[in-house]
Amino acid sequence: MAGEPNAAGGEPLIALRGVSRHYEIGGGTVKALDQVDLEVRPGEFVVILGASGSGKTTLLNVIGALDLPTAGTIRIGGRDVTGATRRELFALRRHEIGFIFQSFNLFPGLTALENVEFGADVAGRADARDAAGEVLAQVGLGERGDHFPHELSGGEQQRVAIARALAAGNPIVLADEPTGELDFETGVQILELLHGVTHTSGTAVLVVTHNREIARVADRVVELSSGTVVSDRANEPAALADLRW
Amino acid sequence: MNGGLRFWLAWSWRDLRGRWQLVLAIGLLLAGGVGLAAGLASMRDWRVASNDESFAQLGVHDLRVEAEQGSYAPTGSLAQAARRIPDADMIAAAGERLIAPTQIDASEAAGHTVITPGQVIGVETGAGREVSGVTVTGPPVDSVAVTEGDGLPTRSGAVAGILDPQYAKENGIAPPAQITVAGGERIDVVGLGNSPETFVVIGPGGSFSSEADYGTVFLPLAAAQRVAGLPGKVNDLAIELAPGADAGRVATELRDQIERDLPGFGLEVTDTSDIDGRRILYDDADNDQQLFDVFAFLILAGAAFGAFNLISRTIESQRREIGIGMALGVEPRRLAIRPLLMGLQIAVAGVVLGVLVGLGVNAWLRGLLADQLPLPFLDTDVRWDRFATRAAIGFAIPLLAAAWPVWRGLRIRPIEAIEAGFRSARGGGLAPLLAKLPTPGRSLAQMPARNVLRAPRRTLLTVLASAAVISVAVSMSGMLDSFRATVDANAAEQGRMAPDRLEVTLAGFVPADAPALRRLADSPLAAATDSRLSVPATLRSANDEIDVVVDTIPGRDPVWTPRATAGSLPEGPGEVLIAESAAEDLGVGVGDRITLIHPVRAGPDRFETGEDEVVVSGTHADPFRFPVYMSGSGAAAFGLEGRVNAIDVLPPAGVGENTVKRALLTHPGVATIESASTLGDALEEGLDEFGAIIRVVVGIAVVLVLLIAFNSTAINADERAREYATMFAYGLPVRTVVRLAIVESLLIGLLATAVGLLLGVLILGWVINVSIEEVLPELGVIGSLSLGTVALAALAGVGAMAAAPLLTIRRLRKMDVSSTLRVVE
Ligand SMILES: Nc1ncnc2c1ncn2[C@@H]1O[C@H](COP(=O)(O)OP(=O)(O)O)[C@@H](O)[C@H]1O
Ligand SMILES: [Mg+2]
Repeated sequence: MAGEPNAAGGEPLIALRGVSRHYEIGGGTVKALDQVDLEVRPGEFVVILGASGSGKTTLLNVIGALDLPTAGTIRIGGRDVTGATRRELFALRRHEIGFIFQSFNLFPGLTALENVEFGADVAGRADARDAAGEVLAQVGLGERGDHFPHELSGGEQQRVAIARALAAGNPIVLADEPTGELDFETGVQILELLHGVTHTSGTAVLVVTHNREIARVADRVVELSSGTVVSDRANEPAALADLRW
Repeated sequence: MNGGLRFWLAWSWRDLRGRWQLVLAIGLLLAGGVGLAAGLASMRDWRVASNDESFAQLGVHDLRVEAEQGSYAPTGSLAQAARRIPDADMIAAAGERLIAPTQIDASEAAGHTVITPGQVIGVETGAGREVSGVTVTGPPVDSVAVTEGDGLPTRSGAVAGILDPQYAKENGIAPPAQITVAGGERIDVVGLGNSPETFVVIGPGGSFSSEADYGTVFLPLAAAQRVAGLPGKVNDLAIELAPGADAGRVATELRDQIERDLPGFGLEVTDTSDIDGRRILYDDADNDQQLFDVFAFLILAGAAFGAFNLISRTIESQRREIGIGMALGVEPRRLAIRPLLMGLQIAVAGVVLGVLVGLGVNAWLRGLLADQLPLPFLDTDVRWDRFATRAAIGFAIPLLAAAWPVWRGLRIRPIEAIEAGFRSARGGGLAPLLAKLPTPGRSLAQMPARNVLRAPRRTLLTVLASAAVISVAVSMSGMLDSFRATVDANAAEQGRMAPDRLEVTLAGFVPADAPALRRLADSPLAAATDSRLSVPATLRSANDEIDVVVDTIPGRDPVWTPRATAGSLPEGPGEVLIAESAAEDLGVGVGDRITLIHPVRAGPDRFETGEDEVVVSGTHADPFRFPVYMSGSGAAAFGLEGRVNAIDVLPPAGVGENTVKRALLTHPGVATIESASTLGDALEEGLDEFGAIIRVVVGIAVVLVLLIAFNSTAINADERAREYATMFAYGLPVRTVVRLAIVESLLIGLLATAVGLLLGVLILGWVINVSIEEVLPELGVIGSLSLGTVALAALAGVGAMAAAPLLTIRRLRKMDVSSTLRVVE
């Protein structure tokens, strides 16, 4: 299967060594992440599981180069991120990462299609408009391209957000609680979508959730607690139909 | 409950600490508008009060008997006539004067060549008195205010006089000094001063004469008579009426009595309202204020629109919080506290800063008035009532701007407020319309236009705010352009044939073949000469009546002749060539008949008034309204066939103008000598002074546009923080994000510039066709807008707007992307 470690060869796509992110607040220290080691290979569908406040968002943010760790090293596609310049970080986000946010964060002034096109544009794809159309159709919104975000339901908005991340065609997709604001059925559709791309394009997908049920669809589950990895195990993905929210 | 209030106040205090820069910036914007409006609003009050005071202190005449040009009466005869009228008790005081044109050579006193036309005014002398640092001297009616040096010598024969302070200042003359007047007579200038009729210099160019080019010297009557070569003659009587006197009756009785005493003596009886300088001073005060009011209103409106927009946007972004508060059951008036307090803070900042700006503007204008108003007495105290009304407006705007969105927010159901908060910031607006247009290419390219259309009301307010301010800059600079075009048009006409020529007026009407004239023509200092008649007259049509100067066109080899831009030059005796602006004001065209009211010579020293129907043969392009030309045969109508009183002299190549002037001055019969370009130069000088005021207002306008632009982008950046953070998460560089903001701002700037230009042109049209037409009817100002002005508008509008986002770069760079994305709205 595409998710097996040997399928991607030697170098992991994402490699964290001893990564910590501490906040100094009013004399005390909040250890949002503490000594995290993690490797992710192309085509893996990894679920990051943990209670609220366990450091999941912080982990995604440091992987996505939105935040820098206070200790440790992060390598993305073999390149060290911790020592990178600002310019390199921006380029990294453009060419390696696709973000999906819990609250969608679509551009209100752009239509659904244009929002997706944005992802492709930024990644520098020449065929941005066509690619956007394709991906939008892929998430089942081919007919809604002309609609503005406020004319779409929450699930539809999240699908547009996913399409935007996928249209970039980047090797890593990071999703922070993408089903958090959605109902069960819509959530399942979203997960199906994300799971699909790991097979079709060898993309590594990291999905953050506090929901143990979601963890069952993953190839691999990384569990966080108080900023440390408490378990990291391979998982035989359950059929989506079996999930209970 | 009190604890509750304290909680809200504490929250507001935290709001203020987080937002004081915005509060201050909006306050400053308001302050600019309020301050300029408040500062400019006092000008009329100041000027009217100063006029009143100056005219009253100098006992301005109620009636004046003016002899026709060239008519003189024996000393004492006019005063005697005044004493003999049936209602002589209605006259409180009367003083005879001799007013004679002359030529002044003040080169010695000035230290450089100063040879100009001017007038000698001989007055009765009297003891002086001190009024707030100014010596009031001379006759009791139309006294002379001496602002520097000594008063008029009481010894009537002494050739010691008082010189017009403006003339002295412009030419660098300080008493005591000596000047020479026509005929070679030397006068000791013992002091500087002027009287009600000479506050405003009305020289050969009417009110356009520059102070430097026309001097007035007050002398004791006897001295003036000797200097002017008119011993024992007077031509003027100034009268102060007793309280309650009937001016009309006294005027009629005077006219009758003088006709009886001095049969055939041409005269005119005028009153206070006929004093050109006085009319100009009061009218200017009024008309300038009208202009200032329009500009102040526009700037205030711009600041108000801007502030309103910025405040309501800031508070709009709190509507979600209001909705949440409502959902939690907080009383509406508690919820209103925070936004209203913000409005109040801005109001206070705006008014306090505004009063400071206003006082600054006041101080600047006070200096300007002291410098430029020719009045001996000034009253420029701060007019707090004017400040109060402007400050009230400045105070009300932010409160209204805050109250409006609060009121809207509180009226709807909480759930709508929560949703609307989300939607109003992101809503569709006109953007859906744009979405239907086939837009090629990159999604990024479309964002700016989408953002502009997505909030049409906000865009409109920003555009209106900037446009109002830009229109002020455009119309004010346009005024300068128009004056420049007018000056140029005048120069093009007058400088067409012999730009260096000198215009010499003679002391009287002499036969064209007089030996004195021939000597002048044969002089080595005249390369060419021609001679003509130059006579003041009036043109009347069904529409209007205007004062003009009729010149005959010299016959052979003229040094200069006018040019007809429509129709043709006058040929027969009954034809006139008039200015385009005169034709416009009179409502006549080529071929139409009009009435010419003019002097007719009735004998030596005697002129009567005659009326003739004449035909407009054509028009000329000189923007001045007064020049009227007739052919040489026109002289007959004035009873002046074969006589001339003006000569054009072309200096030989390589000989300086001043050399020729000095030489001509010694020729007998020469009254005044002037360069043909004097009038244009005076206009040009006026333009420079006027330009200073305009540049300051334009400067303030540009600063206000910058403030509007910057505040609006700053608020934009706040509102869009999540959008920008998302872009950064996708790796879009700051540079690109700023570029998007610049394009968006640029679109608004373009709209604002276009609207501002349009509005500015409309205002300019009003200023030129209505306002200036009233103040300066003698001048047909040519409406013009230079490329520079358009560029200034574009720079202010487009440039300021486009540059404003650059100021947010630092904030965008420092943005904590992960935190910004973390907050779930
Ligand atoms: N800017 C910050 N300052 C201080 N503490 C923070 C900051 N951001 C996050 N934290 C803390 O880090 C910990 C992990 O947060 P987060 O990664 O958002 O958790 P999760 O996404 O798992 O709910 C939390 O205890 C949170 O309070
Ligand atoms: Mg989280």
